[in-house]
Amino acid sequence: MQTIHTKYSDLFKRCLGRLFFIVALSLSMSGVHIWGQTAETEDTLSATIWINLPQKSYETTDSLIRTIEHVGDLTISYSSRVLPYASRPIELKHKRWQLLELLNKIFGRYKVQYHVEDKKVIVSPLNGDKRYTISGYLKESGSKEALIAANVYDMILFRGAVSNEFGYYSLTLPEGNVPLKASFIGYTSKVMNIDLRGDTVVNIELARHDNFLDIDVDVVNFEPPADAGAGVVRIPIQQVKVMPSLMGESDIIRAMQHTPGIQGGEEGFGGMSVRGGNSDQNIVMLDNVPLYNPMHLMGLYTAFNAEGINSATLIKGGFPARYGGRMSSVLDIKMREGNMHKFNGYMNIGLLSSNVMFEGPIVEEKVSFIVSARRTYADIFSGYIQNNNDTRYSFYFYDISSKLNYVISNKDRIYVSFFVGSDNLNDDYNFRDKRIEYEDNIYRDIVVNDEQQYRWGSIISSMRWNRSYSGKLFCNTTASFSRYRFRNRDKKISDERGSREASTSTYFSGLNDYTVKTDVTYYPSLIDLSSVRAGIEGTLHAFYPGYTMIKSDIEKGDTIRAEKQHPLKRIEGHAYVESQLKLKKLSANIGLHLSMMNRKNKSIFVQLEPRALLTYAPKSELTIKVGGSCMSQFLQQMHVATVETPADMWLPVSNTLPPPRVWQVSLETEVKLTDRLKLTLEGYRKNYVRLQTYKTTSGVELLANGDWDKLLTSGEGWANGFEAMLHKTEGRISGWLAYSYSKSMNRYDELNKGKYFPTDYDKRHGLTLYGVYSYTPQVDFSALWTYHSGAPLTIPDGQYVLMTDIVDREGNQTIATLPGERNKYRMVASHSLTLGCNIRFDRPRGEHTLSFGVYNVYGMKNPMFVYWKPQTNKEGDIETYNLKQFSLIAFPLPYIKYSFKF
Amino acid sequence: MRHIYIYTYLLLAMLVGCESDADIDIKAERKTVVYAFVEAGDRCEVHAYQSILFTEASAKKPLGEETEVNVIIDGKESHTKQLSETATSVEFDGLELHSGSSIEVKVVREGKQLVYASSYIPSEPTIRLTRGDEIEKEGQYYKSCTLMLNDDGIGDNYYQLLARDTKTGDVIEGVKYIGRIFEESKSSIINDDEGRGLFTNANLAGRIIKLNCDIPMKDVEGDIELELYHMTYEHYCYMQSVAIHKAYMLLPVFGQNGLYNNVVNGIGLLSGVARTKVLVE
Repeated sequence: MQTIHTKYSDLFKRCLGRLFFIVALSLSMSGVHIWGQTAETEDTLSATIWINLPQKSYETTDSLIRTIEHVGDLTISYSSRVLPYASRPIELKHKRWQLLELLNKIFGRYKVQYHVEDKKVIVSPLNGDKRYTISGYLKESGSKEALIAANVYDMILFRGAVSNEFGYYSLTLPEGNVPLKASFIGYTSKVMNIDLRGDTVVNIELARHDNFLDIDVDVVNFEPPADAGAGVVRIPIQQVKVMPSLMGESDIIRAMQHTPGIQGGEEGFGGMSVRGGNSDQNIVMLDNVPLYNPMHLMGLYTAFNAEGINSATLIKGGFPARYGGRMSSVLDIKMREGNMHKFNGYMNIGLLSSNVMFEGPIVEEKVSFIVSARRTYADIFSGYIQNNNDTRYSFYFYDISSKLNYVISNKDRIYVSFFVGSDNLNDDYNFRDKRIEYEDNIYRDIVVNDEQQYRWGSIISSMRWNRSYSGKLFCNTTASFSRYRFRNRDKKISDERGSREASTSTYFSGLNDYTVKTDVTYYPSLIDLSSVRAGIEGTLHAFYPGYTMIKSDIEKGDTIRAEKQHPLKRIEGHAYVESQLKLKKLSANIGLHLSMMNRKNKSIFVQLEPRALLTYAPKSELTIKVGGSCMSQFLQQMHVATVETPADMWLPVSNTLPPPRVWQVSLETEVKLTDRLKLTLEGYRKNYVRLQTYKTTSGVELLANGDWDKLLTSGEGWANGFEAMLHKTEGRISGWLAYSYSKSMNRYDELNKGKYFPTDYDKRHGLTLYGVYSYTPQVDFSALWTYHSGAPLTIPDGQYVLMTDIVDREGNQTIATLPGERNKYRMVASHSLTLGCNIRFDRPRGEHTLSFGVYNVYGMKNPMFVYWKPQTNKEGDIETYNLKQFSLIAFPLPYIKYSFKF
Repeated sequence: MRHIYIYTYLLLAMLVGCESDADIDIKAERKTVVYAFVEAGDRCEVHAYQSILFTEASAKKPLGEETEVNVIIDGKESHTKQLSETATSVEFDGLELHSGSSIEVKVVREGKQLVYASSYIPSEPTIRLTRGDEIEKEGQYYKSCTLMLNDDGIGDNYYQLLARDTKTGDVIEGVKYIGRIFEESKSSIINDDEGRGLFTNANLAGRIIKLNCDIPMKDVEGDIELELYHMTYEHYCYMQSVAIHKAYMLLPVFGQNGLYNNVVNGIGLLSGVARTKVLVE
């Protein structure tokens, strides 16, 4: 229905109409600055333009605008920046409107200006002349815990910032009244009106929802920050806690492995592979400090207690320049800082372990602490079972983390963190007054105590100082220590008729890191440059590639027979600069990373690594990211087996071969299908050069003799893949469907006849379906189904008689297995279903949660490894061998856990 | 150290593990195996045979067809012999082998890839036995010996100390080297926790190295002879890998462990070696 009335002649109407339109707009708006800017007069636009709408209610604001365009025969052009809620329904009081009033109704809350060109009305954000900076920390209300990667943005201009790893943000905006909105998944959004007339510090606190799965979170349509990165995986800790798992242990790394491109070893054993890379190509950082053994029980469990973690972010592509030192991924885990306001606690009892966590203020609003600890107790039960045995085995692991957070002022903060995690396996051979026959019919009573202790684990500690300078400069300085040790102690005491002999033999390997680093972020007042970040880091590595210490105590005369040798030392340095640019719908993170390490001959390896990530958001629902990065690595882990073991040694790269590096390009498309449903598609290609490995894996034991450098062979490799993830982030039903295709191949000069072979983690197809149904805020059900193709496998496909004695002696034949072609075979595909349920009971003294579920519901026999099993005849002689597979958990394994939070 | 895997595996297996047949189609290929340990003198023996499948009885399998074995000394002196259909070794006489000689072995089979390897003969080590006492420990009798070795200090030297029963000719198992092989100053140790008797002259080049060992006498029928081998780097790596391979062989998660190999297009070891023997009275 055409209802626009015009009363003037063409020319007059054009001039006057335009003028009137501007004046009317300027005068009629309340609380909104309206500028009309004429371009060409148009007779369809005048002060008396009326719109007769067909109805009063519209399902979306966008549909109302389309109706106005249709009815008024004009085009309304606006940026998503000025209309964040285009998909929201809108209700009008009446059908007949003045155009300007109607525009006010739609855009009136925002600081906008109107441009009129022909039949087009252009709505754009209003720009002021003076600009000021709003900065501060985003925190959780109550606990005052930092909120990492939360959004803060101007609701009119739709210029935003993302809080950094300390919850700090900085945003420079035109002066005036700023409706500032802060939002974060799992938290209630908050809007504040800031009268911006100078640089302002605004610390924002957001309240957490009890059930994060059922939150109505605003869909923020402002331009996505490029430092959100491509190939970034963030799983909220609350989501990790409700995910069903083996033995009910909340496990952040296992949760990550259910997203595309990230894999674990078979049956969860072993390390983590990201996009086909080896596990030593991932750096796991706890509060910015590398942790060399992030797993317990040879990879079955993560070493972090979920109760002590604030956030976990894994980056697998499009690396910002601030990260370096590893080729495949960065897993950045931030510990919680402790409640600044009141004492809280948490404890749980599970089948495998128990956790406790305490946090609270030491000085309210100034100093807080958090301590969490976990220990398994299988060793306690196994001790009772083996009480009467001469030989006893026991195993347990524990971890303790703690953090002290001191707010010196609005500008200065200090954090002190400590973590220790350890696995312990004991094998005690202990008998007393045992009568043994050592010659025919001659017996003696002896006492023997033979203890074998195997311990491995990490210790890290760090001290960090944050300082904010004038809201535009943020500085973080960290001094840290990180240690990994594998230790085998053999303690033997024998007492025979009073003749006592004692000896201890200790083997250990590992490394110590001493690191100092500083990062500086500058937030300039320029529209197109939102931040510049630079940093420098130096680490002294002390490697202990397998040393034995022996002490003897014979007839009470202590004799130290050997002392430890000097460690192998290397200095690794990093420096970087990166800038965050924003150009309308395009944003970019461009940077350069410099890595270096000294060599044995005092020369230095230097690697220059360019990084770039471009983000283009043509629509609010669509984001396209292109990332390119180069990463180098100076450390490597030498494996002694086909699965990760604690005895694997960290070593510097060869003194003679240049360090390995990888070039990666990735393309990511993110489509918001609805407010709560997101589809992410990503493809990548990685090219490795100068890879290093051992010619034979058994050679790793030769390291102790200092010859390891000679045993390396160099090579190259590539990986490519495609990843898709349909993610429903909120609502009563949430979860994701993830698929990944990946292929990764390596080649070494002196391995596998120089031919390419699939890497150990080359599992071509992976599929995960994970869902949580919140039946009520107190009860949720979850299901996790996973599938992946069979892992590559090297099987000895023959045997041969080997010779060791230079004197040939017939009949003295020893058999060796013939190494088959590298990863020539594949295991069968694996899949399993895990179901879980969490029931929460709110009581005055706290919240009780009962979690239970079943791992591997349909009892799938998934292969963990394959081996030849000898088949013997009645005389015990080996007749033949059969190929067998071992499954760790081949039956439904239930779990139950009780936790209490106060 | 390595027992940890066994224990962990057993522990887990006891708790929850499950074994079943693996559904994998194995397509095995045979390889040519070549072994030769060459000492100074006028003869050497080259062993050449095939690997076998897991379904076959463990034995040396002859190469099965006419095979030529070619030995070349110092790059010029060439000797060739035929290997009969049933033989798995061939002996060469009248050679001129001495310390420093290079040696190359080729195994030629019609229609097959040439299998070859090369090595050299190290210098003979100088040793002196200073002690050979009988001791009793934990109800067992040992011959406790001390040996002095003069390292020539020329480059990296690789050694192995073994004890042999003169009557049976067998290498005596269970010799305790742990804590018994030290350099004279005791400031450094030679790492040997597997009873292999292998060590290098790292940090000890050109010095007199004091070697201690306790030899179990339980199964010794004749006299004990100590043998000190001066070996090539390849031989040393091979002997290390043998000990590791024995410990890991057929343990499931160590499937990729192979022996050190210096035979091109085949498997095995060719190495020169020099040994000095001393009888323990």
